[in-house]
Amino acid sequence: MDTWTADIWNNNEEECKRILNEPGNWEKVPLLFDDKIALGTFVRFKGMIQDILNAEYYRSDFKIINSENDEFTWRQEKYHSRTKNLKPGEEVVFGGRFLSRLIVACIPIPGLNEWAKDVTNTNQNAEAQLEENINKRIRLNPASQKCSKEIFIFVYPEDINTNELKLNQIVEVVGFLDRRTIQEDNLIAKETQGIHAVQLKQLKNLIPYNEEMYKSIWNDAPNIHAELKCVLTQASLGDSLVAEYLLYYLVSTIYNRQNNLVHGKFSLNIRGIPHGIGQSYTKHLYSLISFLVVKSEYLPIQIHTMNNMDMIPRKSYTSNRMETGFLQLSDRTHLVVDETDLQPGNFNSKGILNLEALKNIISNQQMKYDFANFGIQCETQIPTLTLSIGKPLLPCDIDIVLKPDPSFSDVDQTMKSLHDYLTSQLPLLDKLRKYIAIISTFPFTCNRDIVRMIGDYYLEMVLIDQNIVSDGDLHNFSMISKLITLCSGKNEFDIAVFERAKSLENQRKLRNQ
Amino acid sequence: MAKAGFRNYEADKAKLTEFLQNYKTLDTNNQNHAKYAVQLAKLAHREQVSLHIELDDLDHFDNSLADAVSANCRRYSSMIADVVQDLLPSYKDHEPENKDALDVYIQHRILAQQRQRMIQADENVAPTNRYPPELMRRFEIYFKDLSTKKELPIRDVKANSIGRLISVRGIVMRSTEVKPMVVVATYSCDLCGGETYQPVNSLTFKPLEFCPSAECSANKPGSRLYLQTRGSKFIKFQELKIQELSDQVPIGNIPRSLTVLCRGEATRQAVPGDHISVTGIFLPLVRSGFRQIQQGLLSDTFLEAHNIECLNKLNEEKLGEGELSEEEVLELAGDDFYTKLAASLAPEIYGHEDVKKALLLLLVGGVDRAPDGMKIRGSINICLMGDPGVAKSQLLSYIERLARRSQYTTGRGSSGVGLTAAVMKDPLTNEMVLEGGALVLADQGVCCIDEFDKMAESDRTAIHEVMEQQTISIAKAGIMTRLNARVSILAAANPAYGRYDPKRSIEANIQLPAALLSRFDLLWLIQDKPNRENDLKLAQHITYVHKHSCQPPSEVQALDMSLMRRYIDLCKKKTPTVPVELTEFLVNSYVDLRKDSRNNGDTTFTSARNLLAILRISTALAKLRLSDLVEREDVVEAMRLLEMSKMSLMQTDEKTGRPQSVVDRIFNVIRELAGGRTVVKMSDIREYCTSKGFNTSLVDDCIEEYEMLNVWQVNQAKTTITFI
Repeated sequence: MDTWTADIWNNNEEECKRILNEPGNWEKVPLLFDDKIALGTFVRFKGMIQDILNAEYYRSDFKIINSENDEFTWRQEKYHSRTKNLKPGEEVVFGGRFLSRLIVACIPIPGLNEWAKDVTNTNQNAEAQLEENINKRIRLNPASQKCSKEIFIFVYPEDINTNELKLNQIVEVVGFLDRRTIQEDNLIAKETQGIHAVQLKQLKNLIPYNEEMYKSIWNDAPNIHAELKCVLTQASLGDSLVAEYLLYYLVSTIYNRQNNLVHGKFSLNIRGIPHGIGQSYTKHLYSLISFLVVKSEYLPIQIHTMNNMDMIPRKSYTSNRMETGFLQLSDRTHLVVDETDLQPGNFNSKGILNLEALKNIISNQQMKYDFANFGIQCETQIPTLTLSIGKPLLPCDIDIVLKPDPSFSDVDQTMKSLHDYLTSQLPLLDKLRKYIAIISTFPFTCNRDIVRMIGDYYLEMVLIDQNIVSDGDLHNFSMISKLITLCSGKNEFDIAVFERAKSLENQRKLRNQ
Repeated sequence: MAKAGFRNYEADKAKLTEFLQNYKTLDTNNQNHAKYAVQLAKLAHREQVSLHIELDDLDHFDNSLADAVSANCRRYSSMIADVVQDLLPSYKDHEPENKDALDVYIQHRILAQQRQRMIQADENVAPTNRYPPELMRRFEIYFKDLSTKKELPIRDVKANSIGRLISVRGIVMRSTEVKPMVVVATYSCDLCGGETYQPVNSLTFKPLEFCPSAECSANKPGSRLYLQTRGSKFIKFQELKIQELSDQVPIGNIPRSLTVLCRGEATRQAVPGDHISVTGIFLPLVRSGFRQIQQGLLSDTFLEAHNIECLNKLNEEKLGEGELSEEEVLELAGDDFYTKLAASLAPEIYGHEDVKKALLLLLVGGVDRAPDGMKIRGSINICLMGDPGVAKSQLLSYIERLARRSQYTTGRGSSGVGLTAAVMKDPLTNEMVLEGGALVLADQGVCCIDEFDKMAESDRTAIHEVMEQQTISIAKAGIMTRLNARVSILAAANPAYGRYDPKRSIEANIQLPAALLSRFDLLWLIQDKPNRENDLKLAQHITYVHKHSCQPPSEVQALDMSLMRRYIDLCKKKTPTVPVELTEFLVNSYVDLRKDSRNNGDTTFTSARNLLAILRISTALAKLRLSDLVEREDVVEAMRLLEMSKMSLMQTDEKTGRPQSVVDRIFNVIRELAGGRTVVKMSDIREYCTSKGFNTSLVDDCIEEYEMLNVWQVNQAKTTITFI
């Protein structure tokens, strides 16, 4: 496979496909890391679809005529974009049909945490990564957000169903490397790397599916749940209730959408972050989260950042490209919004728009991409955790007050020992990460009696105080019950879970009063 | 393209000639009418510039030919041009007046050509020396696509469309100015004096340098060519960039764009922001010189426009997704279709049937009337109020998505343009231009304004005008104008004190002036009322969704959004009238309403505007039934909705106390009567209460009940009461 070129592929397509799809061969294709790889090499690339450009047209074949001896050769143009290596005296004559290929702009997956970048290398010095993570993620300077490396993927509709390609999807392609300037109006574009894709995979989950692994996680779920809760209790400074909710936040996934209602979204607000330790604690907490989830982003809300940051992806009609924004994130990128450092000040119009966009994501999991004359609604799946001192600026589904245990007074020490513990227990850490990534995707059922019980319970609550209880609470209650069930490795919602959910919610409400 | 095989172009040419000369259609008077021959005569006399050939006619004439034309359009376009050119002289019965320099040139050239032919009969003149046909033409040929052919979304224009006649729909994102583009460049040689012509087919061309005439090329004397602008032919040229409409873009995709090149009569048909439908030939762009080398194997494409229709100027019909089919009509029909339609609005929001009905009527709208220069709006305005978290915003955003033309904005007016309009400087031309705000953009549609109460003062004054006159007057930066804003306003407002307080008036609750509030046809206070049956249903619904990750199947099937849209389009076409018999009923209802409101010490107001509201709502109901007449039931339903909306405002807040019973009201009356006194005569109470319309027995009940509560004491003889 190392020596494959586009011409070889064109001539032996069936054979090449067969070899590529033999187990293990896909992974052997070298990943595209830097600019040093020669053009035309067969490479693999993983990234997020940032923009989908217009289709490009090319002729299926061309003829190279040598004017000296009038010999000619036919070449196929697929997987090529230029007539390279023309000898003097050779001329190109186009022929054949017009065909089209789609140009898809991909960027490295935003928010991808260091540990997840190369799953095979988890044994590296994890602590160093942790530090790096934090420094890299806190992007206070809006200019630094522009992605450095963008790669154009040429997708051939006859090979790959282009209708299935959507924005913000994570894809992995194999194909032939090329360098190209993409025609942009009025602007001289610089040359960028491109890949002529021969095959493309959509990755729903960055942790590869492996039945055995799934089974072992599922069977071990109660233990892992306990371990994870223990870790998170430490991280919540000894508050086990907050730890429980934090756990559900980490594992939650959206499983249904109905117009504006999104089932399964779990936006959590932890309020009452103690004064004094505010910033250092929230950073520590984020670094822990980034150590556990595959993709995460940290956003400290400050007047300055909100007013200057490009959060909303915007279509630029001068370059005919979509300009990315901070909030263009792939599914299940955990967003941690830190409000603890917010000072009084004025938002400008950009700040307000950014704030509205955040609100829209938190309450509807939608975002309107800016297309100058109109906006286009995009569905998002960005679980959001807000950290605030008092009542949060942003909305949330579930609001909980943090009650730190007085014995955890030294925040730095607590968090450090937690990291040390995790890095010393690599098999456990690995299990925790997999558990968080997959646990909420297991099947779930509940029987008729439980449904009636929940209904009755809801009515009871409504009768007590109908102004506080709304259908949103009922959604939350069902969601928490579902998560409790799955997290403890069970498929069926039973009375015990119902009682547990009730007590959790009651404790939480009692605290919030 | 290849499927058609090799066509005999000579035969096709003959057929086209016959078609142009002899094709007849029935005109409006059922007379046979040689459609194209008449136009040819006009072309010959320079009374018409463009000849639109309808493929429908060609299809009728010879359908294989029409297919061939549509598949290989460019070629047939020039073939028809040749045919027309040949035919024109035979249609000329008098010399047309020469209109401009080019006409004079053409005439001279024709004369010169004839003279030359007489001198030397052979055809050995250098080809560049002969007149290119384009130079001698003053007409343009355009095709009109088959009316049965569907417009393609831009994303479906693919490589197999190249060379074909296609129709697409899109929104104009950018347009260049109209510029002259050279079609044939004419040069004159400074040595031999001969003229040389160079037809130009691409966007760029390389000017000729040397005179190709026999004399000059033989002697190589270093003669130079000079471009003659007056002798060259130019055509109007404009480049448009269109983008897919947002409703054509599948979820999670990005709208695609397409370059449209317009020439001649197809220019100046659209400006940025217009929704257009373009018919044209999809062609690869020929580049020459350096660009071609750089581009390598690729080719840009464009659409050569033949016919541009601006959809926002047309009736909404074209914008729609077509007519309703038989089955769809059946699906809609039934006695409860009104309820069914209303229930399909935001099906994810439980309950609130009446609010949804009102919103449905808002989408349909009443009928605009303009008796004697007065203008009475037909659009219905609704304001939803309610405590935070009662799905107001969700309803608004659903309506925004459902309505064909809609804008969603918040009262805070986060954009620079705001609600009304702003004067902006165009970055390209540096001209001052008016940019419409949400209200202008939503013209003929719905403008959803969330947080209506937090609106800026300037917008608030403008909205007064919008809500009755349906226009916006602007006097900014030297621009004074009046823009149309025929919108239905759907507003959502939060109460000023966090919760709605029924004891205060609406103005105090929402903190908006009465003048503005009275412009709403319906004001609705949305509250979650406890209702065991509904709550149980809701609970079951929610748990089902969480269990199965999908909708319960047994529920009333909500209608599809596109079906709703098309049905509403259909309704909008109706303009029902109020029959004379109903007027009395209407007037009586209104008078009753006034009486009631006076008696109940209503916090809302009943004014003549309410009468108009009833009219509008009942008209909308008639439209919804697709009827041409308003019926009594419509008025009754309209009254009911109005009543319900008033009821919603008068509801007592369950949090602060139980609902006021008659007894409570009587107690309040007695307290009022007592004023500061502690002792009140029983006879006074009876008299006062009866005047207020309370039954004596109820008054007695009240006195007894409050005596039990130790609020007052009644003396033995039951003649006085004493407050404690």
